[in-house]
Amino acid sequence: MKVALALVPLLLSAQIRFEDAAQRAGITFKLNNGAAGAAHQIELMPGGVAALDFNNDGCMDIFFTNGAMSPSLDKSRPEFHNRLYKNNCDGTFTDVTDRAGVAGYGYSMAVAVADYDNDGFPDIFVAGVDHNILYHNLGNGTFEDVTRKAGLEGIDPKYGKMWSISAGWFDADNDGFLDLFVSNYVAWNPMTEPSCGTPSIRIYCHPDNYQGRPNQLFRNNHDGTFTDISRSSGVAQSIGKGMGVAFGDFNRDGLMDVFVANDSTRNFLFQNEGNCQFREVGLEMGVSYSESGRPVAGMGTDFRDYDNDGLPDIVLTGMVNDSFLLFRNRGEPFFFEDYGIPSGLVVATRQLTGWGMGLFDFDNDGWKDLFVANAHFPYMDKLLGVPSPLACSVFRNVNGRFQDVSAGAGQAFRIAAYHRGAAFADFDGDGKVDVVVSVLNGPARLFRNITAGAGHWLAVKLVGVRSNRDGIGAELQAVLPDGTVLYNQATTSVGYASSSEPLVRFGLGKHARLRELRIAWPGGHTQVVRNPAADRVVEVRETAADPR
Amino acid sequence: MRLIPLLMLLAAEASGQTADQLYSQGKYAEAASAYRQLLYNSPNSADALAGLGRSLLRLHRADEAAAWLSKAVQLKPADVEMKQALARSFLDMGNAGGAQALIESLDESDPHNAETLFLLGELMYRSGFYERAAQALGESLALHPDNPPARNFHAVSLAKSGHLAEAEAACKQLLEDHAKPADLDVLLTYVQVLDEGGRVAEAQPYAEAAVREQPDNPVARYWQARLLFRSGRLEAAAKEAEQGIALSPNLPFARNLLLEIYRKMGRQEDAERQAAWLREYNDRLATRGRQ
Repeated sequence: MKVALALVPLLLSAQIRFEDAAQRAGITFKLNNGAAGAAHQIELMPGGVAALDFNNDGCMDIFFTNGAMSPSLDKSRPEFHNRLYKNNCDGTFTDVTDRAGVAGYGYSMAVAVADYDNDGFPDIFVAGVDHNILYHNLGNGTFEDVTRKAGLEGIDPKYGKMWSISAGWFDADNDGFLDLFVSNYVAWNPMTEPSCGTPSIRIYCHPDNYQGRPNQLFRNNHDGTFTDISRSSGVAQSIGKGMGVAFGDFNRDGLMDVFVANDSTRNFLFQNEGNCQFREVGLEMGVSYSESGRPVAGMGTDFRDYDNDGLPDIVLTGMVNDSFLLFRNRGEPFFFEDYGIPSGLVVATRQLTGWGMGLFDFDNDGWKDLFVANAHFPYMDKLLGVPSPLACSVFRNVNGRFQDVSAGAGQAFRIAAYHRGAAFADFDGDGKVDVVVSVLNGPARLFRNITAGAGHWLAVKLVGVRSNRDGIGAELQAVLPDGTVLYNQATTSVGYASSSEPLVRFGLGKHARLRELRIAWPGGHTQVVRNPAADRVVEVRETAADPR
Repeated sequence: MRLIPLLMLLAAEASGQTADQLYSQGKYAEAASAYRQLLYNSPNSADALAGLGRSLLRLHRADEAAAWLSKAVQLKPADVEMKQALARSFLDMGNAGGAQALIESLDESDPHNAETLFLLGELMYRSGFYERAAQALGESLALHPDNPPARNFHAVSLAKSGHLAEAEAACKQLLEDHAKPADLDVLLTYVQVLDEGGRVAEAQPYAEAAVREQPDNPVARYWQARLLFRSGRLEAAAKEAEQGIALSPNLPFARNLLLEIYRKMGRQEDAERQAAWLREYNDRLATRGRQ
C-alpha cells in the first residue's frame, strides 16, 4: 500500500453524478422473470446485460438477457425475448432484436461478449437455465446461432445441461483465441424443487437447499468450435454455486486466473498453471471466506487493480450482513488479504445486497470507483426493516478507501428497484463511464454519467494480431507526466452475469497527455505508445513479429 | 358439601397472594411451587398458569414455561402480558417461528407497546436482521428507557447494521452507566466499532479489559488477537488466537483470523491446517437441509 498511498489525487474532488437516461434514450426493455407465485428459484436470478459495439460504428450498443415462462421455460412470447438495442450515436437507441435475430430461446441468465473467431466483430454468448446460445456476428447487423456447431450447448456428460448463471471470455492458454468459462449454480428441477414459506405464501429457498454444480471451461479450437475441457483442466473438480466470474493474473505469471463468486459456499480462485491446467487455490490465497470464516452470498465480482499498485485485487458483492468483500493483492508470497475494513467497504455495505457491480473511474481522477446494482431478496421487507427493492450505490475511491457518495450522486440513486445486472461503457462518447442496469420485472435503467469537473481520460481500443483480436487479458500501464503509473486490464467479464465494453479506460485527472502507454499483450509481448494525448479513444494495433 | 370448595378457594387465594409475593421478591423456585399449589386446587386459573410459567422462565426453564404459558394464553387470549411472556419463553427456547407469530400479532394489535417492541427487536437481532432490530429496540427505548437488556441489544444492533457513530455513542453511554464489570457484549461491540472505524489503538485497552474480566471467553480472546494482528504484532496475535481456539474450537472467525496470521507469518503448514478445518466445517454446514 506504500506506493498507492503515496499517490496524490490527480484532481480535486468532483462529486460523481449520474442521471437516469433510459426513457429519453428509448430503452424500454423490461426484464421478465415469468414468476407466477410458486417461487421457483430461477426467478430470482435474471439477468445480465452487455455493452458491445456489434456494428463497429464506435458507439456502444446494449444487449439484455431475459427470462421466460416459469417453470415451463417457454420464451416464445415477445415480453420474454432477449433484446438488442443499437446505439444511434445521438443519445438514443433502437431495438434491432428481430433484425439481428437474437431474441433467443429458453430461460436466459447471462451474457458474455467477445470476438471469439477474431474476425473483428463481437460475438454474443448467452448462458441460461436450459439453453446456452452462441451468436456469431456476421458483420452485417445480423447474427447466426452457431451453438451446436460450436459445441457450446453446455451439456455435461454427468449432469446434462446445468443452470448457468455467468460466463466470461478469456485466453486460457494465450494461443490468440478466446476460451469460454461458464459458471453454474445449482441443480434445479421444478418437479423436485424444495418449497419454502407457507402453503399460501411461497418464498425462495436458501441455496443450502440445493446441490451445487461444477463450472465449465471450453477451449477454442481455432475453427469455430470448442472442446469441453472442464474435467481435464481441473475446473470441474470444484463443486460450488457459481455466480459472477472475473479474470485477472493475480500472480503475474502471464496466465489469466479465474475467480468465481459462489453463493453461500466458498469462493473459487482457479490458478492457471499453464497448458490449460487449473488448480483451485482460494483458501490458500485467502479469498474463499469473509473475515467471519464463513462464506458469503457472493454475487457480482470484479478482478482488477483498485489501489494502483499494479496487482489485480478482487471485489465481490454479497447480501445483507455479509458486507461486500475486498481482497487486496499484496503480491508474493501471500497474495490476498481481506481489506474490507481498511477500504471502508465492510461498514458501508453491511446493509446492502449487491448484484451487478464494477470498478471504474467515474470521475476520471485516476482511482477506480465502485458502482453496485442493489436489491434485497423479495418478501423480506418486514424482517429487514426496509423495503426489499434498493437504490444503486456508488462509492468513490479516495486513495484506496471507498466513500459512499450515492446521496449526492443524483436522483437516479434514490430510485429503489430490484436491480440486477450492470454493464459499463461510455455510451455517449463523452469520456465518462456510464452504466446500464437491468431491473427484475421493471424497466431497465441507463445511468448517464454527468459528473461535472471530471478529469481527463484515455480509452484504449486494442486490436490484437498475435493475441486475441480484442486484446482481452492485456495489461495496460498509463504513465503520467509526473511519473505516476495507473493500471488497468482488458476484460469484458465484469460484475454479475454481464459483459462490459472491451475498451481499457484511464482517468487522468489534470493530465492532458500521457508520458507513455505500456501494453503487455497476453503472452508477454510489450508495446509502448509514446505521448498519447488524452480525451480520446486510441486504437492500438498489436505489433508482433509473428502474427497469429 | 358446599363448604369444601369455598374453603379451597379461600386457601387458594391466600396461597396466590403468597405466590405473587414470592415472585416479586425474586424467590422464583418457591413461587413456582406456590403456583403449582394453586393450580392443584384451580387447574384452570389462567393467572396461576401464567405465574408458574413466568417463574419457570426466570429459572431458565423456558420449555416448561412455554407449556404453562400456552395454557394460560388459551384461557385468556386477550391478555397481552401473558402473550408477551409466552413470546419471551419461545425466544429463550430458540423457537423463532413461534415467537415471530406471537410477536407479530402483538405488534399488529398495539404497535406502541414497549415490551412488544423489545421482544420484536430481540427476535430480529437473534435472526440477524439488525437494521430492523435497531429500529424496534430504539422505539422500545423511546417509550421505556429503563431497560438495560434492550439498551445492550440496541447498541450491538446499531453496530451490526453499520451505524457506527450511533453505536459508538450507545456503547460509550452503556459503559459509563454500567457498574463494573461491563457487559461483555457491549464492551466487545465497542471494540468492534472502534476497529471498523480504523481506531485500533483506541480499541486495544477495551479488548484488554474484556480479556481481563473474562479470560476464558474465546470471543474476547479473538478480539484481542484481531487488534494485535492489525497492529502488526503477529506473534502475540497468534498466541491470543490460539488461546481462543483452545477455549472453543468451533469458532470459524477465530480460525480464519489464525489462518491469516499464520499466512502472514509464513507458517504455511499451520495455515493449511486452519484452512482444512474451515473447509470441512463450512462444507458440513452447507450440506444441511439439502435437496
